[in-house]
Amino acid sequence: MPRFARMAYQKADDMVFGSSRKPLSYGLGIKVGTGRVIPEAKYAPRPGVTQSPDRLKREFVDYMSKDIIHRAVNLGFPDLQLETEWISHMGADQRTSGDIVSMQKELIEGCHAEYGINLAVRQTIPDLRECELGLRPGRDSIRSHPEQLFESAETACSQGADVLSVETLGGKEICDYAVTQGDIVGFLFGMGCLGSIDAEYVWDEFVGICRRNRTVPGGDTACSGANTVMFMSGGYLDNDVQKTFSALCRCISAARSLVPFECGATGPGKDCAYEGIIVKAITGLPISQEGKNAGCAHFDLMGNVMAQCCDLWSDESVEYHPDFGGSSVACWAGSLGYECSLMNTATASGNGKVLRDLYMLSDRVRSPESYILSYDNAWAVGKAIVDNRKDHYLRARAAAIAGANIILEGYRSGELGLSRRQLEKLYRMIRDLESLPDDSDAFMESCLRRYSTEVSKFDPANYGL
Amino acid sequence: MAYGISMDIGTSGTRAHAVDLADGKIVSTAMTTCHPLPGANIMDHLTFCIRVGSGLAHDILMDTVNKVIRSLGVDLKQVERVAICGNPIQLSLFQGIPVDDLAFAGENAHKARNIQAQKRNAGVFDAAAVGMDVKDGTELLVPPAIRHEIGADALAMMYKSGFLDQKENCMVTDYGTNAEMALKVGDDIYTGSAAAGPAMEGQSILHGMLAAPGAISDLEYNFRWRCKVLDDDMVACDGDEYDFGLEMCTDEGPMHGKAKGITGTGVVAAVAAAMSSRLWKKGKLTTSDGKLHMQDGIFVDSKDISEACKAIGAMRAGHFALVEHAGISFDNLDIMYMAGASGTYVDAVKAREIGLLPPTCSRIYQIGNTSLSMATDLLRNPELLDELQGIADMIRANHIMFASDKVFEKIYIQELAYWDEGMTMEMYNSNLALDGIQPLPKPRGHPTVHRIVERDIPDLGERGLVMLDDIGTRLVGSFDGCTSCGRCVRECPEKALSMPSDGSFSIETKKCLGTACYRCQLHCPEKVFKYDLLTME
Repeated sequence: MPRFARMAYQKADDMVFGSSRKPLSYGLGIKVGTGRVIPEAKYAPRPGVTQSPDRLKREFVDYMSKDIIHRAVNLGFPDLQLETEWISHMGADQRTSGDIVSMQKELIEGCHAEYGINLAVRQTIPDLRECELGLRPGRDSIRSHPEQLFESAETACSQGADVLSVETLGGKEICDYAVTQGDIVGFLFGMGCLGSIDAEYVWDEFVGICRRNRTVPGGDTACSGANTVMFMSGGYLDNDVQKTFSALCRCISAARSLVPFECGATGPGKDCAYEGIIVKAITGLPISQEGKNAGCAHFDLMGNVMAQCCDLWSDESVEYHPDFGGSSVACWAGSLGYECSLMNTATASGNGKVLRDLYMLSDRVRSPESYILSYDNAWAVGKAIVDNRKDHYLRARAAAIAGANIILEGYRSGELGLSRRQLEKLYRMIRDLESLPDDSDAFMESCLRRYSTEVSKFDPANYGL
Repeated sequence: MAYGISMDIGTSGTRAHAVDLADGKIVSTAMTTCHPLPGANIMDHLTFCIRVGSGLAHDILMDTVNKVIRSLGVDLKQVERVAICGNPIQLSLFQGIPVDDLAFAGENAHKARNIQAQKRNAGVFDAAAVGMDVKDGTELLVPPAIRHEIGADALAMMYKSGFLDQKENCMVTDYGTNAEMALKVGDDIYTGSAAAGPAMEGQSILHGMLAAPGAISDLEYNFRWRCKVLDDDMVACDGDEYDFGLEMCTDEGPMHGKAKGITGTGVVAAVAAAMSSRLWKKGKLTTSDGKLHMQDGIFVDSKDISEACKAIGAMRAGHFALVEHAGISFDNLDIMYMAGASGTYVDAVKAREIGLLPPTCSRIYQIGNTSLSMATDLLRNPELLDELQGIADMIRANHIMFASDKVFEKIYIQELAYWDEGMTMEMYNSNLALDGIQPLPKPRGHPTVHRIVERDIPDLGERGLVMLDDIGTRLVGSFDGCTSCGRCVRECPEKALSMPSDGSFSIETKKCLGTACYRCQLHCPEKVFKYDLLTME
């Protein structure tokens, strides 16, 4: 598989929201990365409606999708992307899922014709695979979840998905263990190596499915690992996971989330794990990002900085219920659209980079995570990935070391404050990472030996190892 | 040495093989890139015959036929047998048989004009007697029509494809300027013929051209659209890649700088790309300049797409009408045979997507030029003629004359509204439902495509192919009262008309749109230009 060998952006300052090196057009008039940031609305059905396929279809289509589109039209937004994140049991009920996809398509076609608003729907299918049962087709004889994953992709694409995405779970069993142990080597192995191997396996197939159905292969995000760490890292009152650890998890995850694009995915990527800015710096592909307007589902110290270079600006899993301003999904979509309007007005008035820097500076030193994701530092992490592209391990390790050094330098310069524990953790991670072998085979061998013993769920055969 | 010549006379060109009768091997192949008669489709040719006279039409066609057989590179004195195939109109023109019964549909029309239906049975004739430059007594084998409107070419596509032996419901279409189509349901066969026009063959398209080096023959989807350009070996190679929605070239390919035009298959791909990218609305391309730009200055514009859409609409309406007359649901139609050059080379998946095939067909067979193939079979085995007559007699064919068919009319009206007026498919189906016509389903699943032949004419013979581009037929004349103002020449959209000297005119027939145009005559300020009075040079 060819790996990215050059940075799409020659310097970090070239990156700005709404604009990408490799823009895309799809759906009903949607153009991403051509100068205009587009709101992307995500939604989740009320508990209870999931029991009935008919109620679930109405919830997704007649309530949530329609409410959001009508709000966007009412507020005069020119573009809107919907993202249907399939709830877990939709993966096992392809018929209902397929109906929802085709009904949403029909809905947006009607609204596009009636109101002229540019529309598209991203379908994000669920990865229900369980490592204990098997991650690859033929291995899970009990629930057939691997088969369901590919079937879901086919269903989504054949029924009219404009964009296909997923949050693959490869390496999660090791990442979960590593997070609880504060083990950066484990996270490197789980996410950087196993996650990459699994993403390659899945996306090689997905890209073909997308091509056959003319669906845009949007990409993958390390949600199950890196988002979990970020959530546990939380705010200033939370210390379950050190924020320096969480910051390096983003760097490692970026190396993994490049893989779908190397398999042929074109974006717009997803960014639940907040690694997308690094991916964009390398690939030049457009990306959908989440921050302050995803507060209903996220809690982190990066609310503004995440907007600095986004191409779509997204909320996250807004549960459907009535609010004073209308339905919850409509209200959140409204806030997204207004933020996009601000960004687009900044661009149109020549102030795009000013606003970008305001977003970035307002969060830059709030935490080591926001520091590493500030576009200049993110670009530097991306450069380390590209410069060490020989294999999954080496580039993920290089990303982590580069990230660690950037944070340490920020601390030493006095720009970034770190708590004693954060600093101690940082030093320990640098020591651990630098003591790792340069030989990938030696690293894999030692990790296979170690984690096969320490993590009972881990089965190397799930990764063809 | 004894040679035979097999010929397929099509609406947009004539193809011929020279065959060594001793061993049956094909020696050489020749073809024209156009039909010599004025006009772009079968209706134009018919109208020309009716207005100008079938004698002149026969003379023009035979002039071309003789040019074709002379270019085969064999001694015509050694030709002992000729076999032909084609649609009833072309074969009638070739044989000099009146075409009135084909021009006017229905018994009433025939009675009113005292038209006798012609028998178009299999027969052995004298090739020299019909005007071929071969020695007297050379056998001319003419395969039978199934009925007077269902010609030998339709029989060829059914016979050569395996359609007749297929037990399941199936359809076959010879994709050409005049699209012959047949649907088999049980032992019953429903046939029709749609005058689709030449857009599917790259004609009537601004940058259209026949397949030749430099032709964009396809657009390959890989999340953007990659031009496929024919190289010097006629292999489709990677050209530039485009995002039509963004109106930008996203990558240059090895064939950058080498495109000269676009083939009919390329036009089909362009329609598929425009539809897929949602750039076709209300009869117009919605790009900033109304053009779909490909590489090296080649583009298709709204007029080109519209021409193609008319052909697609005619074919889809034809298929639909046959399905309705057969009384089956689209769900019960799974197999499609695609004949003819366009049917062989076009990307069948894109073709199905835009409506050139019934949307439910999941098994598609691309089978080449069956007309020439059957004529060649006849040449090798003249006894096949009796067998073909037997098959033709046995076929219980119901021919649907689309020109007077109400079902076709209702569907075709929806097609025009869909393609040109932006009517939705939902409305299309609602309107049909009012007339009790089933809805047109969306294409579903991924069909399996079997390309039975690599080329529409699989064997060109050891001496290869000669292309006759300039068949050089002209109509000439002068008119009393002409002031030589030249307006007729200026008005000719195809640059087919010239005035070599004051008051004398010359029309290059292969370029002329004929009765579909007549601008020369219509714009004559003195009203003296009479197209019908022109004679062959």
